Amino acid sequence: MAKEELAKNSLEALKNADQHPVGDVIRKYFSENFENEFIAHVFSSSSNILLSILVMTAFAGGTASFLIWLERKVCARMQVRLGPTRVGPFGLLQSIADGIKLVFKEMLRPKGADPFIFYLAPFLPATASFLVLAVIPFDKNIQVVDIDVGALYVIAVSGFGIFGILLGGWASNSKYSLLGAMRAGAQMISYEISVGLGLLLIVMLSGETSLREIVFSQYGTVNNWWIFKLPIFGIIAFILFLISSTAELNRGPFDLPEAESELSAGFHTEYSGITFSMFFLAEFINMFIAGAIGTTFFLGGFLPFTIGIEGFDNIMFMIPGWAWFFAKTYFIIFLFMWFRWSFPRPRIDQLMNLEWKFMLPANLLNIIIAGAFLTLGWLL
Amino acid sequence: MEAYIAIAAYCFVGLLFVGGALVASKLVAFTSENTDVKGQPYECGIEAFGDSRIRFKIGYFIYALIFLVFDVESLFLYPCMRIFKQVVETGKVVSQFSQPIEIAPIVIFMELSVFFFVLIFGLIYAWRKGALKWE
Repeated sequence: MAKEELAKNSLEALKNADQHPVGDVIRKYFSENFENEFIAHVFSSSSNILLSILVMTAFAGGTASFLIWLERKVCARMQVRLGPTRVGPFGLLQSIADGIKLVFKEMLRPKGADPFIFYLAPFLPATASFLVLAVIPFDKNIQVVDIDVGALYVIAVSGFGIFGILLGGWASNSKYSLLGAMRAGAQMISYEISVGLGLLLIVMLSGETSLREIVFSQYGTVNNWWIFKLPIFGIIAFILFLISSTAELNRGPFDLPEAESELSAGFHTEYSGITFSMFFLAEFINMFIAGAIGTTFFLGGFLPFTIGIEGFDNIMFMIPGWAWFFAKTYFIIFLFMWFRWSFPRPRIDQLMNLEWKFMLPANLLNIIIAGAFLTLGWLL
Repeated sequence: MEAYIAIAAYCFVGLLFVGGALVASKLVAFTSENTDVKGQPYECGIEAFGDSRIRFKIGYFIYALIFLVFDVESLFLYPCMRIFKQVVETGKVVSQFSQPIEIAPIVIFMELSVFFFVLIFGLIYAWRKGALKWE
């Protein structure tokens, strides 16, 4: 079938969209404006992926500083304050100012700390969170790489950040750091199982592991999004995913690893300046990633909100896919912030019991019952 | 294969980003005079007491052991779940490595159930043995 014959918004048309336009746009700009053989060679089509990697890294930094501002603003509004207002419009440049301040701060290393591991630790969480961004489909054609084991890749790589936290806490030679790192390790590995099983349900229902294909498996009306798919397995998995990813992010109410009233700052007590800001950066990129994964698996990713009425759907398709993606992602991020400023912190034993005695059995039962429904063909 | 090369490149760029930030900060950052107190780990303002690489609660370690079991099992489940829908819809597994294998959907569901009940049994065993108790 020729491409023109396909309806503009059909599934095939979306699937056939060209990949890597991020790289293409930059390449076009440079090759048109600089007539130099070397530059033409550097910006040849084989460098598309490298360009999109650089753009994505810059995007990650920008997102993190925006999220820090957003967190402070949302927190302030929930406590009837104004939050940052001075630096730039609405205080938008506040986190950039903070970043510059952190670069000029001294990197302290306590006596007795293991220098190699102490400086290795900030590398791991930040790199791991950059790596996860590589497979997230921002739009039908904006994605750095589309690997066919995307779901496994996300779980494997996002688990890698725990090493940085454990090593950093141990290497600091501080008791607060050690306790914080141990708590972080136990909490993050426990809740990683729930995240994995929540995504496993979607892998089972859609029969795909590539993130792009998982988004396309939700094509159609809004009923086809896995969260709204009848019967209710999707929404159960989504709620479990939301709780467990809040815990995996070490965010409030599950911020025991850095509970400031008990452990001063947890695993990064002894980190200062730029080494501290790398942990902080990783934390906020991870928050974006958790929102993006939730969007991709449960909320239809970059697909628009369609209800099956042609006129309405066409208007919805006019809004670009990345706008839908960011709207849904920031909705989930807002939920994370809302949780943080609404709920009290549980004790560590309550936290562990919640995972092992409630969420893990609930996830397993959810998957096996959904499997039975799928076998019997009862899935609507 | 190309995708994994891209990911390796991404890994390199990520490490470079962090390393660059650390080196840049080292070059421009303010450095204060080195004193005895400066190298002390933070301990509420008092002088640090004893070593920090102390023995800690065994509970964390037990959770890590149970995690290992469940995480590996859930990773084993991913390939199974990947073909589950395909089997339910077509009744066979098509793979590029072998001939199509015919399996009845109910058979693969029973196999999965057995796997799941072994998992749940393992959880109940750990629970009954008190591995999930935090004292």
